[in-house]
Amino acid sequence: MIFISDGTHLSNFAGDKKEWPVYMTNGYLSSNLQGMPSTHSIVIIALLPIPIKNRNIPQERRDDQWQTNREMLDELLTRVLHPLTFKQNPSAESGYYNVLCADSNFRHCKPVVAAWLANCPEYSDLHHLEQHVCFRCECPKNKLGDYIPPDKQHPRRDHNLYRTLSDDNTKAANAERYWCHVHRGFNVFRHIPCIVSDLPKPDLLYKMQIGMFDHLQKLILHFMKAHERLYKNNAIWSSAPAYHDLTPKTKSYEEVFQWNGKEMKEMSRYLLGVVTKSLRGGCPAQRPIFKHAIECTRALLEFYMYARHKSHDDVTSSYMEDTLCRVHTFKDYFLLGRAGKKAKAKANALRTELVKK
Amino acid sequence: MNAWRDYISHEIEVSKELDADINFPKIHLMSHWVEQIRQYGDLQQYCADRHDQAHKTNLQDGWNASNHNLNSLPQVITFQRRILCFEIREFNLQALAQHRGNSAATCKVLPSGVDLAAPQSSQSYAKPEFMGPQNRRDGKHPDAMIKDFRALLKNMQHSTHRVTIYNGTWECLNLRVVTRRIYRMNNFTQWSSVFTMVLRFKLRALKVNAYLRFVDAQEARAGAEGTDGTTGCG
Repeated sequence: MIFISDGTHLSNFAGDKKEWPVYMTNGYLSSNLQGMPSTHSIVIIALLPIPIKNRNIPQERRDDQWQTNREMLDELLTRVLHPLTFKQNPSAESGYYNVLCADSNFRHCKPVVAAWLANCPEYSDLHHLEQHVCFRCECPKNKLGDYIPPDKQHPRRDHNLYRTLSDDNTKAANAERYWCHVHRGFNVFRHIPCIVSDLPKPDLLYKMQIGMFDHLQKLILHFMKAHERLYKNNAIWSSAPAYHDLTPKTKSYEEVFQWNGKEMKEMSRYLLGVVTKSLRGGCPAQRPIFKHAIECTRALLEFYMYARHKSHDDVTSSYMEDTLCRVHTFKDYFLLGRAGKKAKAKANALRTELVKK
Repeated sequence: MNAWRDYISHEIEVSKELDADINFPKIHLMSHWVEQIRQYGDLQQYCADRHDQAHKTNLQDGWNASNHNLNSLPQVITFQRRILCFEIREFNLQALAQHRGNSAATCKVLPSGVDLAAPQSSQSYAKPEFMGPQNRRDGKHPDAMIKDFRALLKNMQHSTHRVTIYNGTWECLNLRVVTRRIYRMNNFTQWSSVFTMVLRFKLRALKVNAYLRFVDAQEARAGAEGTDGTTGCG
């Protein structure tokens, strides 16, 4: 069984209609069939409650409200996932039954949760984690951006441990739970016989195209601004011709509120050219920095290209590790793009002085 | 020159001192990808644009068809269930049509003249072939829909013909089909909607041009002219 949950807007006019459906599909279906909407391979099974926006509520009441939201969500998910829990399947042999398949044969099957596809913030809600943490390993919040070699990964999240910790509810247990960025309370995923931290699967659309490329573009634009090449960059960006299926861009990256996944996919094909061309020239002191910025962009794009491969072997996966390592080596030059207002103001003041000279 | 170099090293220092960091979850998640690819295969199968499509058939179509009112959500769900019900029925018909040996089961799905003559109770239809959700608004089992369908047929029945559908080379399926007018049966458009529906299922399943042959017409004509009544239709 593969579960999918993803929020969607139905309408922006009639009172902001939003839905948060849970879909279910079968992992045994071939991906060709699964990809066709006309086959109805993905079936809606539940609509999760959407919490109200609580902006104007004092902090203490807001925390209470969030806890209530989490309990509500769990109440509903418990009903949905009830047949899959430990209570219904106490041992590995139990839970099998004869399933009527589409070829009118009966098969002896046992449904098992294999994956739960959602985007990053939803995993935090579903797994009772704090926002902006990794749901696969226990990486501390301030080390998310560091390069982790494949042999030095952080320990994986163990939801059975979290269950015992939140059942204990002692001071030591709470401290450990807090350190792992886990919320208290009942969570249905901790009662399902599967490895919960394995359920989230990497998703190219949200994590790469709309996620990382958006970050990358913003960092690049800030870098260009700092080196006074933003105008040049935008001119080159909008002059990309309509070649094959590329649509020519009429607006610069900043002018558009949100680019969709397809545009980002197109963008990944010529972004490196735009960056390289707009970082041409420059004084000898700037050259090495420009080189590193170009290297970082190239490494991230290469990583994306490798990730899109339809089949992998040891060579391609070693390439992926290699490119990821390169992204982390050169990313420091983009650091100011992530800085707060104070740091930016300080740097800007220094730069204007330099330009005057 | 040196001023610029100083500036840039200073920029990195300043941004490190203050709150600048590249600590967001997405850049960290990339480090798990290689491991996950080794375990579960390529990433295209989990790509979200696949299930973004599901919003359209499951929610947005229903929303567009609803009255956008306070109780629009039940309308969305019933709409989606209704579409799903009919499409599952269609898939079952296609699957049955592909099994040529399974003509007994096909007769049960497609109401034939024999069935019309001796109507059966709704329970006597072969259950395993129907897997449509039980979602009629009036609480009827989907198999009861066949009964309604047969009753409808009975009212509009003008004459019953036995038709063979060929797909060029081999005989596919023998059917009994209801037609409105006997004398214009060469003209495809003149046939009743029931027949066109049945034919649509067949053509989709075969994906080739089909040839229709009126078996009983041929029998009638065989005495008079001795030609075969094959009609081309694509």
